[in-house]
Amino acid sequence: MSKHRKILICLIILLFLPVLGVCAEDYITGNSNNGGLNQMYEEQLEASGAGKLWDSLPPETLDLLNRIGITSFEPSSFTGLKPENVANKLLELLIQSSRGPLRSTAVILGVVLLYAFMEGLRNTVKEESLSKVYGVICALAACATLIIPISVCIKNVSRAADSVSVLMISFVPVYAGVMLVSGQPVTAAAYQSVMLFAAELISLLATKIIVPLMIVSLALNVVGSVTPDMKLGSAGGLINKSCGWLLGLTTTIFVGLLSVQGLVGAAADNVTTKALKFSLGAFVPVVGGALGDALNTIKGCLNLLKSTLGGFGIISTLLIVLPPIIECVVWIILLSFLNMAAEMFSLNSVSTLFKSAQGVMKTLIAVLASCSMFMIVATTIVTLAGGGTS
Amino acid sequence: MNTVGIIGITVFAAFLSLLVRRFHPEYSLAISLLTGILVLGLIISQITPVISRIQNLLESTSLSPEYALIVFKALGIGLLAQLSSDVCRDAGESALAEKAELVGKVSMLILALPLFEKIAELAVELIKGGGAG
Repeated sequence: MSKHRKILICLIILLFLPVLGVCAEDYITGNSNNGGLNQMYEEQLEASGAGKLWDSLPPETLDLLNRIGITSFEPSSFTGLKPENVANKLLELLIQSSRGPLRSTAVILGVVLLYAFMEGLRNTVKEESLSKVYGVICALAACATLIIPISVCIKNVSRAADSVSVLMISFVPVYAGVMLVSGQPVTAAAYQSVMLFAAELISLLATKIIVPLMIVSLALNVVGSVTPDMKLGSAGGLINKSCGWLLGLTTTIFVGLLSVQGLVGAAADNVTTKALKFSLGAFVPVVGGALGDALNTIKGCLNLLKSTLGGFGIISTLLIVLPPIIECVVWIILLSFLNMAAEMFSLNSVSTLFKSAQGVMKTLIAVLASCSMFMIVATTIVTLAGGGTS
Repeated sequence: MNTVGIIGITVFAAFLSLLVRRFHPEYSLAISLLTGILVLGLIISQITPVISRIQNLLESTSLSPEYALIVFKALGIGLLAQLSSDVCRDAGESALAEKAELVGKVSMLILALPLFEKIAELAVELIKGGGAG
């Protein structure tokens, strides 16, 4: 009797198992529940800890993200970005970033004219030794006038490099976690180890080595412009070139390393995922196929989350570095104009200073480009390598 | 600026100095010194409005007008040092002339100290800012 009862219970269970599987699949695909997919996405988003990434962004970047329409991790926020809206906001940013340098340039142009006037007055002090001291004082006054706005720009660049590093340190573990659960353990491990090391290294390079070296270069050029006999401009140029090479080399090595690891890791992850699906289909009786499909759905949801997070990381990095890059570019253009004015009045010392300040600005752009390109290229490689777009 | 008047004063003083030099060389020196001070005073009185205008221009910007003031003060010191040095040389006291120039140079450097300090402060602030991020 008991044997018959056991067989009956087994039959009932076997009869209802496919129905349970279909119910689970329906829940996942949202057929039975309208918010099924959305709910799963929300749950995955919450579990990943991505919500806290907003806190790692500087207020200016948050404001820019809001203005272009990215206020949440909803995929529609990213897919609904309108090119004309983004272009308008970028134009606004350009105007906003140019305002400060333009105002400073007007003042510096006034100082250049004043300096030209002073040079004229300097000839009234005929005694050569007195005239030299007076010339030094004139050049110092012009340098002090120029250094204040440029130092503000250097500070902005340093702050932006630091913000990118903070974002990378907050973003990478979250993103690697999503990659890990979406079936990319090898790529996730490579991404996390390389990116965290690179974030620390870039932060260290930018804030502790390159920005102070830029200040040294600027200081050397200031001294060089005050004392033209010492020819310190070439030393400043050497520092600028060394910094450029250092950044270029570091970025190339790490991006290359991550590309190779990403390619190999993607292949390894692909094998693991296929093996898992095969095992589910082959070894789990009856519901194996449904479980495999459910796995695909979950993976698809995770890929969507991964792509959205990747997009957030890339756009945030761009928006952090864009204002200081625009400021530096505007400064380079305006310094060319100031250099032209200084050469017109034959103020060689100030003209040298403007040229060297241009060199410093170019290196600062290289610092920001390296910081941002590393994050953007690395995230794009791993997103595409894992089929993040699927 | 009454240019013709000032030029007239200098030419007249030179003529007078030349006249009295043969009999009273010490008066000649006094005449050239007094004329120099008078001309310098006249020039400074004429330049003052220009200086105040430049200061106002700098005040209207974010920059400190202190720099322009230092430059103008240094110019004044240079002119005074040169005047005294020339007078000493005319009197045949080249050692004293060099001392006057030295005083002028040292005074100018002391005057420019706030500029050096400002640039040094900026450098320190930048290095600290860069270090702390």
